[in-house]
Amino acid sequence: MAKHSSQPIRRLLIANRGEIACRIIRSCKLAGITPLAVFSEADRYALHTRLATESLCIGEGEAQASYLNGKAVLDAAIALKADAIHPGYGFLSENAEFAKQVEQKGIRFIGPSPESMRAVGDKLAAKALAALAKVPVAASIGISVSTSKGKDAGKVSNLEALKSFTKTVGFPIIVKASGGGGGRGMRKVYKATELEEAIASASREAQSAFGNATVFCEKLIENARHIEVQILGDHHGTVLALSDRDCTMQRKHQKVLEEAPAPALEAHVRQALHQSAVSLMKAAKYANAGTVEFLLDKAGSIYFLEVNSRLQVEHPVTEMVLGIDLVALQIAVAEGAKLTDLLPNGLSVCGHAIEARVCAENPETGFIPSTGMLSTFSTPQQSTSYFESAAPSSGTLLRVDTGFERGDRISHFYDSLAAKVIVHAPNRAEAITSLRAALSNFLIEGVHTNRHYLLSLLKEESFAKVSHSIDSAGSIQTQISPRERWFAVVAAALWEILGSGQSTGRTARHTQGGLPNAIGACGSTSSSLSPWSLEMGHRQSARQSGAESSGTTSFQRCMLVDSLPCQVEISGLGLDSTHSLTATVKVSNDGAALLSGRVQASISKTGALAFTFESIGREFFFSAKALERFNRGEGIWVHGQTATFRITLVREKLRTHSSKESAHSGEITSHLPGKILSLKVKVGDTVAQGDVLVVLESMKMEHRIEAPSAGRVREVSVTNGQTIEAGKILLSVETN
Amino acid sequence: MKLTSSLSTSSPDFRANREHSERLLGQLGDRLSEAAGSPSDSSIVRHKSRGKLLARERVEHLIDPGSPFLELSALAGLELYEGVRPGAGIITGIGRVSGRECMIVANDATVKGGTYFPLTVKKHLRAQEIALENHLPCLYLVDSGGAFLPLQDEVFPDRDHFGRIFYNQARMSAARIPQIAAVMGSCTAGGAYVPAMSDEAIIVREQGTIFLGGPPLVKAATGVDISAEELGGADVHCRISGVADHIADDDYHALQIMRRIVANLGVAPQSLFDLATPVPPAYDPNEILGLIPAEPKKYFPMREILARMLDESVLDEFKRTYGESVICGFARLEGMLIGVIANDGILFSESAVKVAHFIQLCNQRRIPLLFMQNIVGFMVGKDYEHGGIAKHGAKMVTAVSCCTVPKLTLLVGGSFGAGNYGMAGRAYQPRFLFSWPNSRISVMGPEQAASVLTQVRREGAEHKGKKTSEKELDAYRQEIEARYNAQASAFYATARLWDDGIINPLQTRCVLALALAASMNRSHQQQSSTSQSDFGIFRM
Repeated sequence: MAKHSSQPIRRLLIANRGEIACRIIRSCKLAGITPLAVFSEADRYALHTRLATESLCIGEGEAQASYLNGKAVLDAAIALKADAIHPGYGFLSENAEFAKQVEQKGIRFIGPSPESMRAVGDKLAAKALAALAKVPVAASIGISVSTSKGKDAGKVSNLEALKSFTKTVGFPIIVKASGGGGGRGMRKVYKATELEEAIASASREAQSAFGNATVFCEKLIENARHIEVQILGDHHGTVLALSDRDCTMQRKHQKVLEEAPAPALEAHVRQALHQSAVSLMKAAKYANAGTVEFLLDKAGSIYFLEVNSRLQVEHPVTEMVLGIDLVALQIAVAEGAKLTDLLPNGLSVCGHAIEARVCAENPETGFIPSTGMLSTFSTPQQSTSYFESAAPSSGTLLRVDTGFERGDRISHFYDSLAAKVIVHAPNRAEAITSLRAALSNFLIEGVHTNRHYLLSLLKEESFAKVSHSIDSAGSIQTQISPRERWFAVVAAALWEILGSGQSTGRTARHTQGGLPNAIGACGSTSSSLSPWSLEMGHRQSARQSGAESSGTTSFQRCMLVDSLPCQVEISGLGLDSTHSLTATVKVSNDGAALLSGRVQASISKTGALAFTFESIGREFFFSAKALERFNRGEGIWVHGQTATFRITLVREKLRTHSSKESAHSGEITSHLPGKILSLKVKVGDTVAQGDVLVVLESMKMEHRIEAPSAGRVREVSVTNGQTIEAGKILLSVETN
Repeated sequence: MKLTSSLSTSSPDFRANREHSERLLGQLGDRLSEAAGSPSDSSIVRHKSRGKLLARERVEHLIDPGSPFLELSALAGLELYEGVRPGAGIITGIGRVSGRECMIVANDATVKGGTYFPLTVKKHLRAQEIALENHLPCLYLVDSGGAFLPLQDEVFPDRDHFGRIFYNQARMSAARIPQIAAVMGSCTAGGAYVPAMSDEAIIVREQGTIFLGGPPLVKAATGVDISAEELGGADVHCRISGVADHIADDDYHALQIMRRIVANLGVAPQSLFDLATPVPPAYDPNEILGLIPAEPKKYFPMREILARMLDESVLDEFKRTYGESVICGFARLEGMLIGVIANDGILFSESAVKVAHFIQLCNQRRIPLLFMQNIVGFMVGKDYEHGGIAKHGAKMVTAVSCCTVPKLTLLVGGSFGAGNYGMAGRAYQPRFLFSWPNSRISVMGPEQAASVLTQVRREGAEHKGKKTSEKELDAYRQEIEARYNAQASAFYATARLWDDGIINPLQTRCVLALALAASMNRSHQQQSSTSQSDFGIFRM
């Protein structure tokens, strides 16, 4: 600590990427500090690289080769003449060895000292320390995994001790990576037979994600809430609890919704949490920002979970309710400032903030990561300044933290976090309402997102009542409503009609030399008032008359909505000069009717398609961009109120061809790009349905590819360690 | 000014007129269904069994869903060739493809293998002419065995015969009017030049073939056995010969590729036109049927008709009180500003001069012209000849011939003699010319013709000193009148492509509006390649 001079930081290297790197750059710029970035080859053109004043490439796309490569980061810091390093979260942020090397080079590490980090960073060590500081903890046991080469590699060596532990506490048990966080390297185990495989897999994932394969087992506390306390300590012995957060809404240990302050918390519980957190961190001589996590069970007991010795993903909710900039405070503390000077009047919580993590993943297909170019990335309107938010007495503030802009790519190398949407409102109910509105207006095209999943969780009654637990998200109905999906299909079909008339004067603009097209004064044939746009379905006919002169006004389209095929039939089309269209629509799949009825539709001024089903009587809105692409047979993204759909026109024949082929060939492909971690079978092996064939790593998560049916492996087209693209054929299995 | 109607829909005349019009519409409907063919026709069954779409289905899949299709000359060749349905084995019309108005020319292989009869050629050439005049990309859906050999003398050698198709393709391509072909069936001999002369060509695998000489000819000439696919199939032309550019798996795919090609045509120069929000006529357009006189000799209420055609029934008349036998004025049709010239009686010198003046006004202001023809002709007699009606009529004809704004002509009643000329008849190249089913066209009215010819015969006989009985002359008169009547019929005319189709009077607004808007695809600059004030000498 004495090493810390009061010299201000001038050049700060951010040893991270994505939204957190951009977030830190923002604070640097506000404080007049030069932000320096490091980037991998995959991030050469990433937003954080573009925003930083100077930047340096530190290696290949794989995190191990770049963001987890401490030496490369340190070399970059020296080359860029950084006087401090902010590690963000994940990667090297909790690597005490790295922190030590940084300090040894005379560069300040924005975070706790290596000693404090060691004391709390390792989950097992932290639990011991917590017990000493009289903080309640759950029973646990450390696991030794053999690191020797050969057939024992990855095997548990203290198996006897483990067995007796499980006997004492009973199942379920949870395996955790000692050096982990964010749910990675974590497995829940309900049966003794699954324990060893869970340990091995957790250990592998931990090694890949954090560079530390140590895991431990703990009694699983069920139906608990996740409450955490934000801690900030300085180098003068002060440790403050900066309010608390509730991160109970989790999916597979990954936080999805986070809020501050923790709602429905009795005063004495809150006090106990804050006191426990402060005494633990004081025991660890903790300086800088950190988080102490607890579980709160139904009985109101708290259990210490772990310490995160870094800035958390969810730190913005705390910033918003307290009106502070945690990164600025981290920097100030690292510069040697006293918290008593920085926050002379203390802090008070004002209003309520909620954060939603928008991820590039498809909840409809088991949350498999979705990668690709963000052809549209239109964030909802943000409030201009949110660090200084002295809590709104009325109205809400909106903040979006992201590492992406339109045109950027979400690659398979890193996690799937696309953006964090944070709202701050006078109370929790209003915060929920405005977060839902914000998510409804967040349009992302190019990748699938969990937007509708987040909206379903926010709509959940148990969440509103704070009766949910960390296991709730798994049981909440989060499927896309089929009605919205088929409505989106109808919207796409209607757009195809209205769209051709709405290509608002593409040519007119040119012929007019850029002057706006004044409808009513002059037009071109592409105008929406042109008879070619209005005389819907005109065919020569001697039978009908006047207004009903429309001849062939029915047509059929085959579409793929996400990967589901369907047929849309449109008949009885009518259109008036105000561009209000009426039609009878029928959506079906292989003859089975999914939706039918009479609709009225029009395109609103904003370009959204509004339509009303006569039988429902309510208006539904859909929006989409680049509609002319659909007309040309390319896929479009259709945004409904809760979900976004990828809709493509297909030709009948093409569709039946492709479905037949894949059914016969027995070829097994990967739906996502990534790296082959483990190939479980070889040519000639007999496999049963559901057998794991390949373990794939994508976006830092392990994914298993299972045999769709029993059979014999005919061909294997990949090797261990190979990096593959989505859709790649991995192997083929002959059906018995 | 808003036109006012004094129509009584309960009058016996109105009912009789409506019944007559409905009878004519019934005839039109029957012939249109005949043109479409029946699903049970053996040629249609055979065609569909090969997995091919019918020509009409191809058009439907090609155009933007729900968009209009302005079919042209649907009854070409009517009652002219044995075993050939009306339409002459080809469908032509304007449709919107990927947001752009295009001329579509689709062979109907279920009619004599899609071979070209004389009127098939004429219809194809007329479609190309419309495309050229209105700058519409041409989309050819080819499925044809080429010229109909038994009638080779009527389809091959002359200027406006088969060869003209390819001449037009070359000239249009040079004029930057895209030429795109999809080969969806055979494309033999001369027909092979349709794709070959196109800017881009698509061919359907195992269905489309292109060759100058088919397998039988190759066998006869060289003794070599070769399959059609091997000789000139999709793979041959897209991989080896380069005659075509895109391989399609089937008809749907070919049409999809064609839509993509059109989507990538880039920006076309267009005319801007005065377009307001369309407003329907104040009077019911359905009443038109009761306004068309069942007896051609009866008064034709042109203003009543206009009141049921124009937006809000508003017509701002020019020279309302001068040359009253012709109505000139500005109006809107489905929102588009047009100049209307409509007959309301026989043409006098004043009427002719008024029209010449009005055409010049519209031409200078770039306002398209609509001619509503119901004309017996120019007035005859000593006073009129002395008054110079011929030179005044010439002014009208000069103005009609030399103006460069789009002209649309609609035959609503009679179209006789020089009246046809002054009112932009076929020879005066209106962009489009449509007829109502009741319309009649000939050099003069059947009665006048019969009496003139009978008079000539009587005089001829007298000159030779022969005597002809009145009975004989009467029979002759009747024969002439009957022949003239038959030939003056709108169906006789449309079968020979003297118009671009008979239209349902109740669809008039729609058809004229589509045609007018389509004509705006040609820019003013292109229209006035001869400068816009270049009129011939007006004889004063």
